[in-house]
Amino acid sequence: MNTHLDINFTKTVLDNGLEVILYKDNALPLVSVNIWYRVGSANEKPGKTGFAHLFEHMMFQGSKHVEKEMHFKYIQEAGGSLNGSTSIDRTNYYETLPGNSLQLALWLESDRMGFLLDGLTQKKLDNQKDVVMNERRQRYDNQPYGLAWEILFKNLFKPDFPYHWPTIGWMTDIENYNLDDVREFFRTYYSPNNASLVIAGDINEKKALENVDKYFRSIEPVNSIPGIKYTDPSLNEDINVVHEDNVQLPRVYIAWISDHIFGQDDAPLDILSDILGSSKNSRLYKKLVHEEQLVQDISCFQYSAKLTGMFIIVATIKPGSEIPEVEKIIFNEIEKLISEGVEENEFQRVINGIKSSFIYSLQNLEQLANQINSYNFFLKKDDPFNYDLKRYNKVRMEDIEKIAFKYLKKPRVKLQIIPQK
Amino acid sequence: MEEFRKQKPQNESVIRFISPEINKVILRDKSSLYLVNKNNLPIVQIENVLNSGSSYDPAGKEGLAYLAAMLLDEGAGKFSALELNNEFEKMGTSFSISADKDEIHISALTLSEYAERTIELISLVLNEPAFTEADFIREREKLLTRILQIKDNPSLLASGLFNKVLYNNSVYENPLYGSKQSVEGITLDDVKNFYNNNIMLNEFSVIVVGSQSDKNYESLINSSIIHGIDKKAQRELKVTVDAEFSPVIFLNDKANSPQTEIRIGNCTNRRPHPDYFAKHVLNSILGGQFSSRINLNLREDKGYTYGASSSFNYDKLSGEFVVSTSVQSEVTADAIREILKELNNIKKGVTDEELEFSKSYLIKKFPSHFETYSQISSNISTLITHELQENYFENYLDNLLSVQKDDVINAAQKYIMPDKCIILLVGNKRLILEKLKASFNYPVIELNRDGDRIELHQ
Repeated sequence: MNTHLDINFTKTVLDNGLEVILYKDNALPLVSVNIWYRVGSANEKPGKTGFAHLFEHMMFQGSKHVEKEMHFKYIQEAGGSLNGSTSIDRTNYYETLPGNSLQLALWLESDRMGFLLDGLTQKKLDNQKDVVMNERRQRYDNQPYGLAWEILFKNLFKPDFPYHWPTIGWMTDIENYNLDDVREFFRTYYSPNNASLVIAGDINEKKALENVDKYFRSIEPVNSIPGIKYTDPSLNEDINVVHEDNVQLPRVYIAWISDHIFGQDDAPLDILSDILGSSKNSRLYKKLVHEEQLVQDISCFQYSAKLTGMFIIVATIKPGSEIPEVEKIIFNEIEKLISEGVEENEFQRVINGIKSSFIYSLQNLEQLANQINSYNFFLKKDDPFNYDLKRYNKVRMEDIEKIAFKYLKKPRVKLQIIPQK
Repeated sequence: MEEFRKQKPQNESVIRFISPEINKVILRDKSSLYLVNKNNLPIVQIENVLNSGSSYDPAGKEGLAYLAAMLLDEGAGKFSALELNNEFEKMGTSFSISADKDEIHISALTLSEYAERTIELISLVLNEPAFTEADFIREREKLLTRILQIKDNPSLLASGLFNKVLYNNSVYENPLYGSKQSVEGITLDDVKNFYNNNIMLNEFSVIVVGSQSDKNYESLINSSIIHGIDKKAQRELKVTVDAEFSPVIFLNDKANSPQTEIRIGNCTNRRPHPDYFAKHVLNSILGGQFSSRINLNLREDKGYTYGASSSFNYDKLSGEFVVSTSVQSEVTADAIREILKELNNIKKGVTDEELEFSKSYLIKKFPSHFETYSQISSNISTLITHELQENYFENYLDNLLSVQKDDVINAAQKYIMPDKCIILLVGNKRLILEKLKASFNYPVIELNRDGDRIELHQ
């Protein structure tokens, strides 16, 4: 399999600190504009959780030169699609539209970066607080197992570690947002020197850069952006949590603290998670779904973030089975992997899967633009696509058992979601 | 002051886009093969469309098509279930089988260098499924557990119940997954019969999106994927819908639920119809995108919900119009009133501005539907399902352009029926029932999670 990827882009930094990355691909007459602000829920303070996510709403409410509702309308009228997302580490805002409407996207993005507060009103805030509370009800409170992730993170991280709270925020915090806090949060984090802009697609690079300069040059940077304070997230002992939910089947979550994104153990942890639980032939699926038939589904993944990573196993228990017997088999399989190592064919299967998913992911411009921003934020290396692929090639088979020993013998959090009595 | 900030910038040029050419070939078993040349990446998407969805389930055996689809790739030829999966995975091929009301889809996305092997394996899945007793029992158990799980999910539950009430007494009434009772009654012989009589004999098509210069897919598929030669005449399936409802509220009680899932709508017609494009523009104005009337009202003005939308959905034999949203329990009746208000208002007309906005949105968005290999494949699959003309995409923009204001209003009057609709709710009865009865003069029929009518609240 030829695994060298030919993805070349150029990076420029404006005087105000805005990082600009251009990638030309004229397969279709489309352009994708993708901005990452280096602010996520980890930048929030207890009592004020959910602000980064609130901005994902407020940033679409218009700004000085853009009336409420018009941000969406302008992009849609041009045939574009748009959205934003919030994680613990960053927020992103993006739109994909016909290549001839690039200026429109730059005009809108620069207006909300430079002039959001001029368009901010109490009415807009109140409306979006209601929307966010309904988002929370719909996506978390009213979903089966919907609260599992926030309970897991709350227990995996101590209150002073910035991954302790959910990105959407606690309901009581959302209810109490006020305009002054919103203004202060914006002034602190939404500046050109805390952002990176990727433009990918059918562009003339010189003209694109001139337009970026036109719209963004005059936006003032901020003096200092507060860093994130955190302490060692290691767990000292096992933590067990049981939560009753309106569900028919119990589900168990087992989570360990692991390595951060692009850390030296991140790639082997990824491979380990695939060997244990990503497909029909993975060890836990084969044992628990196929052979013993004790669980309905099982998955395993390395969720790596900026400050640390988490290695997580999730299993939904079938009627008639119990969490303890499933848990026992999971730990037996982990022990077996540590003592006997992994086999050539499973190792190769996983590596091939990772490489081909890499190629498949290049089909979509929006995803590609976001990936470039992700590398720029987390990795900061030249030729990042090939760097990323190569780190999987460097992993040796015997590394996997060592990584399993290093991380999965440590204390873990076990969360059981059980049917309400 | 930077003057340029005050005005929205103008477009710099005109976009030229021609949708990819679709080359249709008839295979030696009389099936159709659709080829599209795309070569910006070394990958290929292969999709098989089998006209054997859940509408072919025999009475009392609901869930059979779905279970047959689950079982198709649980071992084939000399490979056991896990071995077969390993054959795909060691190439990094992403392989899946899905079923809906009308069809079963077998799809694979693979690196081009593995295209031949992927086609061989698909052929095995299609022609030599193992259908062992052990695999059957395991997969049936999985399906029974899934049926249990669906009832936990308010959104899936609401859509399923809406479908059941809407398509009462027709082949579309039953849930794709079947019910506990029907699935428990399915035997391995039922699956084999379904395979022999439907999967192998009903209409079949293959789609290949990839570089057509380095491989001859026609000959590869002709020599490998063989489908039943003696095709039987298509069974005449019909969807007859109960008389119109004079609005009825159906309610499934979900105790302690903080929100109510709402579905409001009515049956319409099939997709191949001259009104399709007018309906498409109409829906875009009403609830088909973020800046539509329904979403701006319920979300951006009232803050009742995270989002509200409407759509015309099309199956092979029928179509439906539905508004979907999930709102805070306390405002359930208010949200229903606002939705009905929007449905009534749109029948009175739309503005020039709305019409131009929606047409511009739909027309300019067109190129983005052809970005990924699977998007192109899925577009062709739509042509197959709804028996659309082969030049459908070539004429798409002209058809949209020709939609006039009167067409939209006519479509609204014909297809949106606030006076004869179904209102289906999954929510907290204790919090919402009294206000529903006080607000509307409609009967409230309580349903259990299986859709059986359990109580009438007048």
